[in-house]
Amino acid sequence: MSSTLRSFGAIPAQRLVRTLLLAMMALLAACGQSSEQVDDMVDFSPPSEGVSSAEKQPPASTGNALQVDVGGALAAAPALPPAASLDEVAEAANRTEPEPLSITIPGLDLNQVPVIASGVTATGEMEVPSPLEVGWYRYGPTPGEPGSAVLAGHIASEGVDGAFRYLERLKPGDQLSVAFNDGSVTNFVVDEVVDYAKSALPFDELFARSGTSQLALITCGGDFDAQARSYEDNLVVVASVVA
Amino acid sequence: MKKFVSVFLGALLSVAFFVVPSSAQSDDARIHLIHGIPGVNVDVIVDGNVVFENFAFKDTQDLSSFAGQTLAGLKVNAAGTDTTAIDAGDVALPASGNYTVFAHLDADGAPALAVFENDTSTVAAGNGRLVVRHAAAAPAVDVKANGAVAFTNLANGQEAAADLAVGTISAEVVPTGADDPVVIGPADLPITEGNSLIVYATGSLDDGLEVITESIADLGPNPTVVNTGDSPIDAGVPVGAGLALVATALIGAGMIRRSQGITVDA
Repeated sequence: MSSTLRSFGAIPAQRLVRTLLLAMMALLAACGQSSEQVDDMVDFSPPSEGVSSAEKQPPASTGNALQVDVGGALAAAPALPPAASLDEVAEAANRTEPEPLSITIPGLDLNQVPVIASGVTATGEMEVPSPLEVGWYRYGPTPGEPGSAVLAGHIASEGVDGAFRYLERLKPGDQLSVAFNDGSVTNFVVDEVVDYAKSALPFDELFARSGTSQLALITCGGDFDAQARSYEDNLVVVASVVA
Repeated sequence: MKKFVSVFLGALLSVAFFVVPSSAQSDDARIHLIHGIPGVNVDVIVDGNVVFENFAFKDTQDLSSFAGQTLAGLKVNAAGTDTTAIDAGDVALPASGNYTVFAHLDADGAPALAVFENDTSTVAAGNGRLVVRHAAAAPAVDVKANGAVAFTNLANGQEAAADLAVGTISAEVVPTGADDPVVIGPADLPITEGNSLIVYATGSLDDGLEVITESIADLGPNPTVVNTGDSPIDAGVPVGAGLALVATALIGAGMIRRSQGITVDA
């Protein structure tokens, strides 16, 4: 609280504490929270680096304008869809979205390579199907939808070259397409080809479930470690929907 | 003039108090307000002004952009009247985190406001989360999942949660320690990957219980490694030939629908 005291002096600080207590009591009275949740409410003290983090904020974000007219701003706050009934939830859960069925990359002579819906193992390893198939991370976005859809294929496995053996040959501007089980096809264009050390793969970015739409094709790259039966790198091709 | 002064004072106070928290407000604060009292439309009033008019059962409002601020003199009135159902006083919204502010009936049937903190921790691969919240004018209950008691002695204002494998759960709600009467259900609850399904029991035992839900998505884990090679390249069958064979076989077997619009240079 040192930054607060410095900012507002001793008397306002007392007032602050009183306001805090009043607010706390109101909340407590209103909802009878567990002690754990109450603790969260109490902990409004800034982090130790609070002053510097406050300095990083642009002046507009101090919230003064909002404070003067919270009511008006609240009235303009977005309404969300109403809370769903159990029937609606069940219906949503049963709704099936189109799933990717195959990938075609003309520049690599890959024609309708089967795409298999794939998950993740308990140890965090993405499941990748047989060498001549490509795995779609089914818990992430569908290719073409918001977020980063992932298709992972082997460079080589079980002694044979995999579907993504020559992925490294792709260049920005190259075209590829994904066909879906509803008969539709989405065309993509390569934006970049990047090699990462395996541990340095930007997982949060590549598996993002929302945000900018992109398609990430992932295979292995770098040197093959014969002892570990594993490659040192991941090669990533990032593509986006052809406008 | 008096009102102006009090608004001004209020503004001063809230600015003084909330400058630090609001600058610490994280972008991912998520606070939703849900109307969980069946059959009653209300007006939500802050600082004497109606901010949400004729708010109906299930209606949901996003308060996320007010994280870290105080809603001064929060009241819930019966719609279009001065009859106050809930007088919550000044409500300080948390600066960050994931909360649901839920208007409901307490165990005795009086309107009340509950603030639930939502667990957004990552679920294990292939799992979803089920959260059950008792927000109805009813005694404590047991919640059965697929016939067995999963959560016991849940009272008004309390919640219970479990991470479960993806699938469908048949749920029943019974009085604590009893097998009947079944007051809610059996109802199918879909557990989907990476999703937290929050189920609220609302209403009252006397006038009818209703179940409404809230979902928080994207709690599934991302892979932490992608292994796409366990043998050296160029060790076996040329890639093109093998793929052509597989593709031909699959198309022949009807597993791949040949789609229009694909151009293939091969």
